[in-house]
Amino acid sequence: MSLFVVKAGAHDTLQDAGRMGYAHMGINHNGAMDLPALFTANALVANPLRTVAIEFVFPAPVVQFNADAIIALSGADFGALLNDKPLPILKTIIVKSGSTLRFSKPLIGRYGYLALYGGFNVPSWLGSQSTNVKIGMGGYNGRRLQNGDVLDFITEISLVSETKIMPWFSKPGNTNTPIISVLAGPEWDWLSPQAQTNFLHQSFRIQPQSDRMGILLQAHELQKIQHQELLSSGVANGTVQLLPNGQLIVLMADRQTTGGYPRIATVAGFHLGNLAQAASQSHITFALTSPEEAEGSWITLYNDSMKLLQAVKWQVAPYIFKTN
Amino acid sequence: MTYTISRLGDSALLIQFPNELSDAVFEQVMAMTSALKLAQITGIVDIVPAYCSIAVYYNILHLKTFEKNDATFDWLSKKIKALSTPLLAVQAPISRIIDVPVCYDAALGNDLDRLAETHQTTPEFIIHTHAQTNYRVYMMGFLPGFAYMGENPAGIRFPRKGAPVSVKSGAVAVAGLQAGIYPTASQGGWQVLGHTPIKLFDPTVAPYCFFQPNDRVNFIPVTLDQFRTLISQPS
Repeated sequence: MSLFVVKAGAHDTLQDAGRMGYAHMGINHNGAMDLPALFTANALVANPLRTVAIEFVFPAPVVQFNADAIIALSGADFGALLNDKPLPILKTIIVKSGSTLRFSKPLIGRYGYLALYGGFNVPSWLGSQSTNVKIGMGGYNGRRLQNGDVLDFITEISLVSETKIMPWFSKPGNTNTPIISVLAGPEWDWLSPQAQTNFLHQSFRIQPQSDRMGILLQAHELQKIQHQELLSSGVANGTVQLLPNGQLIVLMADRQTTGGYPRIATVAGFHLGNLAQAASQSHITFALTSPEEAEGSWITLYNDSMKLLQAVKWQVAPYIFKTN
Repeated sequence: MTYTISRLGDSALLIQFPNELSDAVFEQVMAMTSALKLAQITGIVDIVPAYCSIAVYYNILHLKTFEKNDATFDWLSKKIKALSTPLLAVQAPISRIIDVPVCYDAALGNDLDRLAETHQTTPEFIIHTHAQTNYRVYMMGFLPGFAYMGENPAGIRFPRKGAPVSVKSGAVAVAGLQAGIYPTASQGGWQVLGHTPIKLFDPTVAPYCFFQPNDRVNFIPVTLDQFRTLISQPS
């Protein structure tokens, strides 16, 4: 009743919705880079939306199922193959024991998710199963997956069907949106009026060094009018910091909890997944949104996943014969 | 109490006091933090005090269920501004006095010789100044268990390194007005003066962090032998 890692990918970690409430101790948030994609994958396997899943980049892992399972893939599309047959993302899939899942090529996006009906059995630390690689806590032994790892399932099931792609699906998520909505940050006024205009009109190239800590953006230098040093202070998921060299970094899931660079903007929650999925070297632009739209769009995303979850629950039930 | 409240995205806000490192401002930060915790406002998931600001994180999904008309930020801002004055007079966290052993021996690898040369001083002067200063913990951040302390006296206000380098667990470091200790091995740009044998972060035992805001810290020089003895003892 487990999943066997035949060959680990470049960076496979277990992530849920993140470790909330411990930033005041300097403990990082972690969690999925593309939260709506995590929600979608979980909804498709009838899990609570914040259930822990495997997050992977390309090259992605090769895994073998040592038990019957119901899975879903979301986020990036890396050309999945189940027993060498193409497997779509955003579908519920019934997998018979002994099947092998691999990924052939990076088609779109950067972060993929593999959710499992019932979830993976990894310990929770401070209310979350997300992996904190830096301090070696959470997820699977506090680290990224390696060859030979065995991830136990929580729920043992027997399926009354052969390997099968179910007919229902989720609509595509956060791919290919080059316009990222932001709200002005606490130090927005530190930019000159010209720099504010530039920020909202120039395009930014995503640097290859971008990772789960932050997305580095290459741009024409943005001029500051305020030159005082900022004392270290709290940052949020999506905070856009202006670095001393005039470049920008958008703080992401593995960000540090505080920072000392001016926070000129914050990416709206409903567009963070889009930014996470944007390809290295591709270009994005920022657009100001209203707080009402930011909040409303996030709630819509969440509610859509909840509706999908409710629908899937009824659909999968007939396929499952629970043995515990 | 003078502060402004601004958005830190759609799920957090920032209470900003005057941007200065001073005891007067920090007392306000601590009073407001205590008041916020005491008020137990629904939907707030974390409160992160810093030198002169407080970041407040909240769950819009939760708040929206009962506050449909206002934007969440406006609703929370009103709640914060309405915290009554008596509430703000609540006591700050107790001020503990903590002695932290530091080994300044070059054998452990530090920046003392280079700093002395660049800034026309001596390693002995830097060590003496650092060990004679009473520090205060202003905030936790950067890494799990990392305490930001202040403030360095004139003479050891060294600028950050041009680029971050590998720093060992327990490295005692300074940058400008700030002092701190790396709880785990990390990349870091602060100037390393010495190393402490104390374990500053233990993920398995509450309260996880050795320090908390408002602690008073004295650095006590120890020899390399003492350091090795202390580090081999379980705390």
